Amino acid sequence: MNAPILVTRKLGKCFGGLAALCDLDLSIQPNTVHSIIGPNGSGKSTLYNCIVRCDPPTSGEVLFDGEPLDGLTPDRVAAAGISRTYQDVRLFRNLSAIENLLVGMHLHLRSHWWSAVLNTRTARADERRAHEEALRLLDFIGLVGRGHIPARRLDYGEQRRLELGRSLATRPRLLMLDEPTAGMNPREASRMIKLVEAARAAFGTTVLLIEHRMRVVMELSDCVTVLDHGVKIAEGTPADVQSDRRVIERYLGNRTHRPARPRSQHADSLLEERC
Amino acid sequence: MTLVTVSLWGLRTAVVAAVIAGTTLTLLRSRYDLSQWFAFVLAGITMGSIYAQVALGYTMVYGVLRMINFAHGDITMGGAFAGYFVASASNRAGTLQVHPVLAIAATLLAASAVAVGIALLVERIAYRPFRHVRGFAPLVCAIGASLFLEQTFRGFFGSSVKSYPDLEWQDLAFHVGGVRVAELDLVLICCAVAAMSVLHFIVNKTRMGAAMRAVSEDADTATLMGIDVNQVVVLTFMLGGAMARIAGVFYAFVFKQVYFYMGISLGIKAFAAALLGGMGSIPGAMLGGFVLGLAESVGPALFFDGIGVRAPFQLRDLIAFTLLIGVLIFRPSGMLGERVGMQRA
Amino acid sequence: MATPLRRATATGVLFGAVAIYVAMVGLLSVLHTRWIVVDCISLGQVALLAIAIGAGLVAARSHPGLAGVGAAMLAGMAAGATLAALVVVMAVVDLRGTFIALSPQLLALLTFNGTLARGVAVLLGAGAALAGSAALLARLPRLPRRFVVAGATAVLAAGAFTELIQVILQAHPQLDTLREHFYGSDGLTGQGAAWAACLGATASALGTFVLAHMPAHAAAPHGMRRWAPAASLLLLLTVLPLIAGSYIDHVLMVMALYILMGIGLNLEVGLAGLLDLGFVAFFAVGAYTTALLTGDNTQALAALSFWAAMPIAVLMSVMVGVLFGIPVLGMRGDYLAVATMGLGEIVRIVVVSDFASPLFGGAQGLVQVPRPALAGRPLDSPLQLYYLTFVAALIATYVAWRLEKSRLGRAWMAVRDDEDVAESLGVDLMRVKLLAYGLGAAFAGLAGSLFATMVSSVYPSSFQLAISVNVLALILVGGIGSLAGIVIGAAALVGLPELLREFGEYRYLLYGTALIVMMRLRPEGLWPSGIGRPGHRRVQA
Repeated sequence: MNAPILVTRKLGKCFGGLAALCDLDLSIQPNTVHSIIGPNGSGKSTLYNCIVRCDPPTSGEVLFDGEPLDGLTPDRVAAAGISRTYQDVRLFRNLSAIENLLVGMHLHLRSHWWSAVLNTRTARADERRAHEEALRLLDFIGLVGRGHIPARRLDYGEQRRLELGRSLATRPRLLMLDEPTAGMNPREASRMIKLVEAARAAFGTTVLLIEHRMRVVMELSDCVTVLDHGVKIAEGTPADVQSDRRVIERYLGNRTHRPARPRSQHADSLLEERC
Repeated sequence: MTLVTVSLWGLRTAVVAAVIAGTTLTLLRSRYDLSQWFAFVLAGITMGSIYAQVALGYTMVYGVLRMINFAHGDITMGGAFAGYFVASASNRAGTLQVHPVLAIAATLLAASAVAVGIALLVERIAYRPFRHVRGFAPLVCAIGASLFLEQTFRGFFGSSVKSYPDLEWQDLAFHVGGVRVAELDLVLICCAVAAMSVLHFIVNKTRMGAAMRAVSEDADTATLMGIDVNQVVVLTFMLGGAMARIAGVFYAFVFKQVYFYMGISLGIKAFAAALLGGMGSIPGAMLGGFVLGLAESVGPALFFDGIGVRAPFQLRDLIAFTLLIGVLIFRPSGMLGERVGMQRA
Repeated sequence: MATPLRRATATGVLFGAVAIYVAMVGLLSVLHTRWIVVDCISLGQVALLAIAIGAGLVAARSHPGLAGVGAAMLAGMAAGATLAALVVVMAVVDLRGTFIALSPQLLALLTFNGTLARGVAVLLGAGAALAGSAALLARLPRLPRRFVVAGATAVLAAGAFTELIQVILQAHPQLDTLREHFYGSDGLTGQGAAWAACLGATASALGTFVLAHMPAHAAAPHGMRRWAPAASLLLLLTVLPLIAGSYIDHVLMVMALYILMGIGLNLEVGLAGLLDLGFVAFFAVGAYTTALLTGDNTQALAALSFWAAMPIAVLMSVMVGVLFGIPVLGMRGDYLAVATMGLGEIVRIVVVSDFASPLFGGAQGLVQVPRPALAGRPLDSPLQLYYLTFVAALIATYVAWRLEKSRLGRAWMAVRDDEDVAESLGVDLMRVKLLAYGLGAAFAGLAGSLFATMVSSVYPSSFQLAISVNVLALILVGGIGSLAGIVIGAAALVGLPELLREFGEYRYLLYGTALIVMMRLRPEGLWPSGIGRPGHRRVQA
């Protein structure tokens, strides 16, 4: 097995007295699809924020390719090769679809602002290359011919795909998706799944995936981590996790009706101890 | 961001060094005697109490609406103008001399009605539509409202400076250790403290106050809890306007003049005071007001003179602005307030 | 009262309140001093007309057909009644001690030089009649309505811009005879008004005719349609000063200066979304640097030519911009605005102080700034200085346009829309914001440099906060992010007050109102760059 591309060690994030993440150890293998699942409020999006460092963790560390991400600003994290999408689609609403993609390419364009002003040959070549790549990306995500439409006019499915495309434009080695099929009907969701799979294959990225749809998780993932109240309660292949008793209790649910378990009180006190 | 951190540190050190150098030199040279210093301090506290009251208005609106009410200074001025007319009228009618308390009460009442009225109007037209809008549209609208108010007053009342009538007892003073302490100043300070206490009580001990705090924390949830946000906002503006009117009238009595451009300079400085003490914190606004007043009054003599600045009192406004920017850069939460401004270098 | 009636009355009262406001703030009296048609109707009376018409149109909007006309009349009468209330109060009580504008002359204006009773009756009746006719007009078929509107606009323009038009016509002897048909010694005559109305109607008819036959020429390339308005504007700006008199040239000169500043501020506000209220500081730095380097006064540091000093001035502005930017650009929104405002004020306080007067001249400022010389001859006339500024503005436009289309421009727009997301895509926020700030400062510095040489002196009173607000207002009114919009904004907010001199006192009132109205009704401005409009940015396929 290769060295993991992303490792978190005892990652913790506390908001005042509330522990959103607690002692989280993760290890993501390169070129796989690794899913994070768990009920709402279990700390999944917080985990993303910690990794990308837009909301740095209160304890623990994150290692990308063996290098700590400590003290980096989000733009340096992106330059290192990590890109993410958002639970609520956050496109640049006033820019067109292709401009969104071009912003994604910011890191990889070489022209300086003064050469743009002077319209030098290198600047023009750079822009041309960028537009060509953007068009290819547009094609890949299935928005051919709709590049000039402002992002806010696209329909929901297209917006989600555009956001994915924008993240792909940064040429990430790790792509972190946050509920990419949220709010989609089954057909759109299938399309999204195929796109994610194709992206992994075509761009050779590792994919970290937060999802609620079990079907998507089971279909796509090579490995699944289950979070509950900021704590990892299970990890393994989709099949393993699906049959794990704790996961069924806390998240997937079971058919028989049972009263609330005292076990949850035990878990809370564990939390207080650690954080 | 090492460039930024380094330069910020350099800035900090430079300013602190200048202040310390200036202060030491002044004290060594003993240019001012004790009674003069005392006079400076007293003037500072008096002015500070005015700043504090206006700052209270800013802080309250910010706390509830998360927005800087640029027009606040002008609303204060509006109150001062209204007060002026009532005061002049009562002066002409002779009531000011005969029943000063009644006349002043009437002045305050008129000022309050006008200030509150303007505040409500501004809220309705320029702020309410932008309650949920991001971006700078609300701010620009506030600036527009401020401009509009100033120019309206100019149009209505002319650009000449108007003087409040003199009160007989205004010049009453007593002497403490060789320094003249005007009774008016003491009244001012007491009123400011009283106002803050009342406000503090309202916000912390009454139901309406609780509603205000709820809205300031999370307006949407507050609505779900059945709180009428509009009502709360209106009340906030009313209270803020009330503070402003008192401050405006006092300002006019102390400085004996009212003119249409008053609003801006008072507004910015009071805003600096609110920020200094912590936006959203009522005790903070008071503290910030007094600190700013003192700094402005004592500062020029204390360190500008020391480092050899000619006519140091011209640079008095510089202190306010430097404090403002300094707070924004180095400690946006102010002395007592919550973390605002979301600074990330 | 039934709700629709109540609503119509409310509309009327609202408009009446506006009329009262306009009267009380003194604007009405000032407007009254300008004749539209001499001895017949003044701009002030037109304003009253407009209020009645406005009331009628708004009231009629919610009721189709004749009911609408009825509602309009009710609204008009309500407006008239509200104003009449003021008139009655004015007649009974002398409020001039408080409200200086409520003079006897105003009373005369509002009662149409008659008795109080007659005046009130006229207000009520005229209000109803005007509002009603406006509603009727709105219900006319398109064509005749257009003619009427065009004719009226033409009369209004001919009357309001009397001086401007006469000056232009007088400059050319052939057109002078034409002038006499329209204008008497005081202004537009009745006959002239009639001519103007016909001209307006004909122009409108012609326009409609041409446009109706446009489809035959729809083959005109898409690009042409996009460029045509901008190109014609450019043409107008190039040619107009040649035919207008020197007064107009002066106005255009000031406009060009503001346009240059607008382009700079637009980089910061429109593209990068940074609200900068301290913009005037960079303007001041440019002006003072130029004065210090070229001036013939005691504080001067050198005696360079303007062309040598100008780049240095721009460089100084950029340096100050970066210096100011580093500490404050980490803040957001309101706080950035206030911090930049503070910085601007600090600059002003320093340059006016006695402390710095050995260098900056204190309140007396710096004088004797020479004009730039081209090929040995000084550029002295407003016309020449206008062209100089115009060329500078063109260069600035080009630079801004290229920046907009570049990687940096896109990064700016991304930061404006959502800076956290931009950062997560690899955009270095600080660097990008500093670039916006610095480049904006460069343009302001250039403008300051030109300003110093234009007015030959530099006084601290020219660098108030108001200028930052001015430039901001003209960007926002004209159109964020759009270069044509900046020109429109400058024309409306700078040119207009200069042309209608009486307005000068009320220009800030205009700005304040404009800001509020624009932000509420049309935040993207009058002629935005079409950011987000389909078809604006074409993909290089």
